[in-house]
Amino acid sequence: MLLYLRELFVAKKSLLIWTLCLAGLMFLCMAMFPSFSSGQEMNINDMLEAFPEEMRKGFGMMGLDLTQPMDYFVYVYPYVVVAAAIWGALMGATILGKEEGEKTIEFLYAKPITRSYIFVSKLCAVLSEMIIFGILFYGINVLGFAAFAEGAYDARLLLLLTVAILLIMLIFMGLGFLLSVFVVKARKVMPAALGAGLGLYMLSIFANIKDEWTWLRYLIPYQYFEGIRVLREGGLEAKFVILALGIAVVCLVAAWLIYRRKDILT
Amino acid sequence: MPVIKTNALTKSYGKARGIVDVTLTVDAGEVYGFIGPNGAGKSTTIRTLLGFLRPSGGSASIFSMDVTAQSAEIKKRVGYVPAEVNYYDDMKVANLLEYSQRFYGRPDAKRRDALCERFDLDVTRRIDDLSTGNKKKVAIVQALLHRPELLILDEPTSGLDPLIQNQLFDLLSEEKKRGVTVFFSSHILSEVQRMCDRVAIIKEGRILRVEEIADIRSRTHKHVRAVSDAPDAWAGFDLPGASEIEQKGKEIAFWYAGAMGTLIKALSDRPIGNIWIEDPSLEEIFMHDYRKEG
Repeated sequence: MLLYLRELFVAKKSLLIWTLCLAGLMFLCMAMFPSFSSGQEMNINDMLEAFPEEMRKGFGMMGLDLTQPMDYFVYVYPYVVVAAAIWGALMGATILGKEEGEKTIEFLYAKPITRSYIFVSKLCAVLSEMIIFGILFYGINVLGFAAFAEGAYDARLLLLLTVAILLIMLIFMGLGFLLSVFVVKARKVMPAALGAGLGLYMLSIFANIKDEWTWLRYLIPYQYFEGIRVLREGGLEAKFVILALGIAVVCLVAAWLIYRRKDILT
Repeated sequence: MPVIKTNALTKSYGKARGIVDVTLTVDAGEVYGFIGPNGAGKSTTIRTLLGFLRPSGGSASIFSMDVTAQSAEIKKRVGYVPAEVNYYDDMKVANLLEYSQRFYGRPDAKRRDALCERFDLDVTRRIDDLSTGNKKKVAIVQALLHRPELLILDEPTSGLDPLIQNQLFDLLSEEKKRGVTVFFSSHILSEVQRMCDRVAIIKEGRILRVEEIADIRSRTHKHVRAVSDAPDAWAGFDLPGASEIEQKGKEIAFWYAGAMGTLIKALSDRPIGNIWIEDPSLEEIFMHDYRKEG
């Protein structure tokens, strides 16, 4: 509990900043919703239609009615998902490695605790941060809908979209943990996390355009819970929920097994 | 019963050498020196004992518990001072000491205050504002807070001024009287000479020998230096038991192992102006042996 609380204490500032940035972005976008939905001068959907089909497909805009609050929400949603995924990767990749990178691990390892205790404490701290983020994200979005869309939102779908962000973060966080048992220097981890987050997003755009390459969906976490699909199907696809959890668990178990046995070189 | 016991302990980093076949035994209540030049394997041995590194071969136990499998259990009874101190920069000294204490149970504020006072530590200062010496003091205090039965100190005096070094040695003497076992690595032999009961000499990852400090001191090797007023007083000087004879002008210096009477007699035959017969310092013994075994 001691290490867990310490990690939460240390993370409070970054948790606040990331939450405010991500939820704040959604809130600000919702603040613009009234001008999108009023359609006094020109219907926004007609404007969207003017874009090339590939572009609309690539960025997940096909079939969206931006005058509807939930549709408008999922129009902005992918960008928040990418940022949240990068944050998840960074959290996973730095929480273990920073002790080695900053050489504070000698202090920690001299204490009467096991490596599993360290691993689990830090993992629980990251999971807690994600849950806190999820709750705040959901709450701030409810406020956004209440303030700018006359409360016209589907609470269940909004919750599922929030859970979807957390599941995608979980995958990236697991990958980050696995990376951190090999690479401990923050300056090496940062580009890897950013590269994975943005690179996979670009691949996701590509996968959207190429309808026939459906197998690509399984390789790109962003494709598991696309906002428009969650809206239209009314839920998260079970196979992708299992896949997301499976990837995260496999990464975390592998990271734990390696971490238990690795040499700590400071 | 030994507190630390290693048997052919080996740690290699891929092809690079770490330590090879390190076998040593540290008894309860003993102050044990671990001496060798930088890069000899002192820190690797300590880090293997503390479970930071997994042994590549051999075995090691502390309090009869395996250093890898029962590391957490062992550390309840061990205090550790690293060679290079790196703590959480966001903490103040007081926060760090309390955090450290909580790993062992309820913090003992009285003990913490007494140790901080002894080392003149300002607990209100932030870790990242501290000098190397002050960080070392924090490391020493945090290692002693939970009243460990074994203290493992890796180059504990580096960065400490002489006054604080003396305080550390006084404290270690008190801990020894309390029955605490001390495992102490250093490349400064006079520290070991001052503090330790036994010393293990390590070179290039291998233990060269383990000796009682008292034995080393009582070695029959003496360092002899004599000066004569006569210009050719030392011509043809030879004596059974004398080695490394060096003559520079009117002065002669050599190592001698043998009866004192024979030495005095041999010197008294010549016109001596002054004479010094000294126990060599551990440094000199060590360098003497190191060259021989190099």
